[in-house]
Amino acid sequence: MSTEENQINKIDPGANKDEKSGSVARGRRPERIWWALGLIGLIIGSVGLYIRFAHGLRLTDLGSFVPWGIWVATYEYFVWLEVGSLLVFTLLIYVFKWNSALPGMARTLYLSALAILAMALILIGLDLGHPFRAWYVLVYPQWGSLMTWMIWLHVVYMVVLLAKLAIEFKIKQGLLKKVGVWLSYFSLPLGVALVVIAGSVFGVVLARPIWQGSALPIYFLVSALLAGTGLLTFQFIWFWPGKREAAYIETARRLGQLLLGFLIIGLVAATLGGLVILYPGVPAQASALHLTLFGPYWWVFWIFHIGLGVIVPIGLLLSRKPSVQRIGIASILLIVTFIAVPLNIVIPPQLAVEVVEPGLVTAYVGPGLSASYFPTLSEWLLTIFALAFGFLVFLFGYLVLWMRPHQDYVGKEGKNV
Amino acid sequence: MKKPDEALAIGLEQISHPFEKSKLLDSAVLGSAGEASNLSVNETLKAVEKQLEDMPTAGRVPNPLIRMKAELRRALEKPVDQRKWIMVIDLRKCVGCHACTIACAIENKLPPGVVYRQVVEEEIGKYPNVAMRFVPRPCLQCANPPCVSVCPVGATKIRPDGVVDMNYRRCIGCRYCMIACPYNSRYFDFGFSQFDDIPSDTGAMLGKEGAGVIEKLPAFEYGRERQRQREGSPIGNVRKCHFCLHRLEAGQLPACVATCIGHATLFGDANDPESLVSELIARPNVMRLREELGTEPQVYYLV
Repeated sequence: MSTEENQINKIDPGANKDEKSGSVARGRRPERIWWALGLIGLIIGSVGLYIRFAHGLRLTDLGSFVPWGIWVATYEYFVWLEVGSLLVFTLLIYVFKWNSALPGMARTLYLSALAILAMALILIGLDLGHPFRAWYVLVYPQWGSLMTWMIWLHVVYMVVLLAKLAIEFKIKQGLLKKVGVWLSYFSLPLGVALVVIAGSVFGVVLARPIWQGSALPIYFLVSALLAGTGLLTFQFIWFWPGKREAAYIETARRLGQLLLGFLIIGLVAATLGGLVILYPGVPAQASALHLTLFGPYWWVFWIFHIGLGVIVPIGLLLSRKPSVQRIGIASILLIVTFIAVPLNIVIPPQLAVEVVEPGLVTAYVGPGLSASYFPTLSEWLLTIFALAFGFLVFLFGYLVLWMRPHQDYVGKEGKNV
Repeated sequence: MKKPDEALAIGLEQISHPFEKSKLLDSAVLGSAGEASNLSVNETLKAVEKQLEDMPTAGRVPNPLIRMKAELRRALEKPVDQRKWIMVIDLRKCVGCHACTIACAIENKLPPGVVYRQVVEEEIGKYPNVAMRFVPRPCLQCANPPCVSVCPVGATKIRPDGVVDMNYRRCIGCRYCMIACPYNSRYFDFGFSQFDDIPSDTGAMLGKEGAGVIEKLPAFEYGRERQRQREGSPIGNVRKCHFCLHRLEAGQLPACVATCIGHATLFGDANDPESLVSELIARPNVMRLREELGTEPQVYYLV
């Protein structure tokens, strides 16, 4: 992007799409590939959507002993990504006053959060037995339920996010700009509350091993910060236009350090938590963790999560001055593999039913009465639909509405980095 | 009006004790029940019950079903908030016949994958010292139910009489209550049919269309006539045992209680100090499942 284009961006980044025809032309081919990928995903995923409405939840592997599966786990992950990325961003900009290139990422980051929110709502909405009754939570709320709080907070968060996006998109000065800043401050406790309550939805359940206690809400917060930093780092490295600027490299390295710090904190917290659960040797408590570590899907934990999602990224980030590419690869690996964490939090404790209540699973035979779970094709297809839908929302915002990073801060404040 | 023979047959079905059956037969044969034979079924049964109640108790074993039914009617005369329904299951008497499971499924027209009262079987010991233990598992109707507080829309509530009920029209199907239930007593209605894998009717064979008529019969859970329809409630809802509230309101014992061949399942009002269940739960050999959780189950086990 030329200097002249940057100047135009400073005035109104959304108003100069036509002038960018040159750069768009250069990037038209990759854009077409992205659109094609999104549309192919949407078409393939639509089969899952059709199955969901034509056959209800009958073609899933969900059951009465394992009522929550990949859609709930993915919803939790999307909450971490959506809220975590904005939480870290707002903390860095407004609390720790990072005067780097990072503030220019606001628009793109809000856009990605909105896209992730769309994915999350699709999955959790269609996970309901009666998706068209989802609004009942708003009309007939039972405030004693943490799920009510989670949904209400998520709705409020969505409103705040849309307001911030609108303000960031059009308003550059004046009262509304101040409102945007205050909304950012407001989003901090709101985001923390949403993530912690999402964890508490599990934490208050004493019926399933491992979940009950205050650890899970805190793990959720740490996980959101880690996943959010990963997403922020990836987006900054991938989308920031001035890739040769000193501010870019320095910001990427600082984000890499932050990512490394959260990775180590998360690793230590999870290790300590696991040891505490295993140490007393209580079978019901330990069984769920045993399933995660040594069960049929051990490779999800050891290879996918610990190997590719923790050890490799830590190795890439540990050097004194890692290259931007290494930081980028570490962040991508983390984002892709971190889905294993909510999957391992949500599913194994439900599979331990036979340890908690021996004989219950075999007492009666019927569909949905088994203590095993692996997502079926229809579950994967609907997940692909949600991912493709969110991806297309992001593409639309990024390519059509031109919600791209703007470099107002580079050169002006970048020297302070 | 039923024919006398039909009324007698129904009367015999309702009375399980051989002595009482013989008394009824005697009275029918000897003609003393001739008047009763011209009565309606309910009137016949009432007459029989009256005869049984009037009989001298010395030398005969009282039928707990008759006692519980009388107690049930007595409880129904009180306001609902003064009743406290509880169930007592005598594990020493349960033979694992699963009649209660079947009766419950038929009474409530339960689809595949939904069960309100399964019987957990457990083999104890090693050969040659081996025994079987049967633990019937209805919803325990906890006084402090973890499933109620987690519902985001208040679709499940604890009634004044202690039964935890479901509002199918309110339930959104999030299944959080199933997650929160420490006893796995809640089941999700995915919409499966008993006849999914059965071929269609042919001239020589009754297929899914003919046999499936039974699934089209309405259920009367929570006192409301409801027919399972495609993707409509209760499909997509969480379902659970409700102590056959619709039967209780009609003065009938829950299906599992009425069907139990060994009188192992007993039912009544814990607020009535003279009820059978009140007597039983005051014994030292009574226990409840996972009491350490503080859920205060209203299903007691005699061991």
